[in-house]
Amino acid sequence: MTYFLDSFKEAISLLTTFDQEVYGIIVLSLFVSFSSTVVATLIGVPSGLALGLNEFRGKAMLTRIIYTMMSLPTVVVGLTVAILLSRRGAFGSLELLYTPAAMVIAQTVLVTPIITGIVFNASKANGEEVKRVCKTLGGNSRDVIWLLVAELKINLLIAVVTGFGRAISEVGAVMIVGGNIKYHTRVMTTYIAMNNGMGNYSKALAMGLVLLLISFIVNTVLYHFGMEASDDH
Amino acid sequence: MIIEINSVKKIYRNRCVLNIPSLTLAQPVIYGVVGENGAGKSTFLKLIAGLEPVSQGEISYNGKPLSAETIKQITYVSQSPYLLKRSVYDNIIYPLRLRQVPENEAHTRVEKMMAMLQIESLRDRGAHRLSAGETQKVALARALVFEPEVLLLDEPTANIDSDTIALIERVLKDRKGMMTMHISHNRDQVKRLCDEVLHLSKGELLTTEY
Repeated sequence: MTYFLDSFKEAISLLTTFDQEVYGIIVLSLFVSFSSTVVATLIGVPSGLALGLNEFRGKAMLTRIIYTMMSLPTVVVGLTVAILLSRRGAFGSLELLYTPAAMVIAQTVLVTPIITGIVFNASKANGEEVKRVCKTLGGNSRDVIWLLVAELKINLLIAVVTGFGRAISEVGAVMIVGGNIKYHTRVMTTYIAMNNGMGNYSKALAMGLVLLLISFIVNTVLYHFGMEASDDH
Repeated sequence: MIIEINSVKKIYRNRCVLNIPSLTLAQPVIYGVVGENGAGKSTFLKLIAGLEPVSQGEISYNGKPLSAETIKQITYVSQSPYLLKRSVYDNIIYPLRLRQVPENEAHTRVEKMMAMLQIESLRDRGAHRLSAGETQKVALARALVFEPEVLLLDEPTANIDSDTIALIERVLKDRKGMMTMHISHNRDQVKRLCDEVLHLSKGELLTTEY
């Protein structure tokens, strides 16, 4: 119990002392997770819609692969991306390993199937109806896409929030591809893992509380916009 | 307006569910489409609406094959219409916005349509909070507001009260210059409302009698 009390005090102190390292870690965590979520959204939303609305050979197999990828182990993703970005890897010449860019890539690989899967399920359930209504009222293919996005906005929001949650809370992939380098690639989760390893439990718990607080704030903001959207009828 | 159906077949999983060798619909009147369950009535309307492709043959509208352009004058309302997740007003104005009708004119047309179907009080209500009858009236208003040349109705009055049915029938009767195809299982309604009848059975057009 003392740990929790101490860590709560430590969390307050971490945030109120304006420690440069701590704020650097928080900013980098948010940057990496937001960037990967944005890239994953740009890939996952159109892919999910296309998968939900079109029939083609191999769709069932592709769906199964996406569902499987929704629960990809983070360390496997980290390892694969690290191998590809390592000096002897296919993309070694880019020299991205142990940089924030590598962390964004790894998290994008983790988050994209989640967003694709959720959007696919939503468009499978309502997409055909929306498409039919748009078509019978005189809409073209572009109108169908815009209407789908408008009709499924709550589902899209859920997909993005879930993706962001996965990105901000994962540790395995960013640890492997980022290397947890101080002032360079250290993020909240790797900071927690490191302090746990060093026996600094109150520091680890304190950062955990900060992580939870940030997740709560981000989700509250997104939930607020989601509710506003649904109240628009 | 002329709809010509030539050697049209619709086949699902090796089963022919609709086979119409030749049919020409040329009058701006109300056609009743009747027949037992599974006769192919809904499939028939969906093919004309361009919602499903024909397996064989061709359907043409005013001499041109059905395409994204030609079906802009044809609209379809199902038994359980899907209303967009927005207000009743925004649902009805949607097809006018698709056609880039000036906002003032669109507004006037929507108001007129709501008055005709007696749904002015629902104007700002979320479309997902409506009863079955209200939903059907909003769907009909949304389909009629852009003045289509062909209106396809798939059992629009099933599961709704008699007052709403009477109102919908009155609105349909009042629309001049529009071809309406109306699926119904209600013999009295078909006699009351329809000028001509298409009788389908097991995917074949039997007669134009009922």
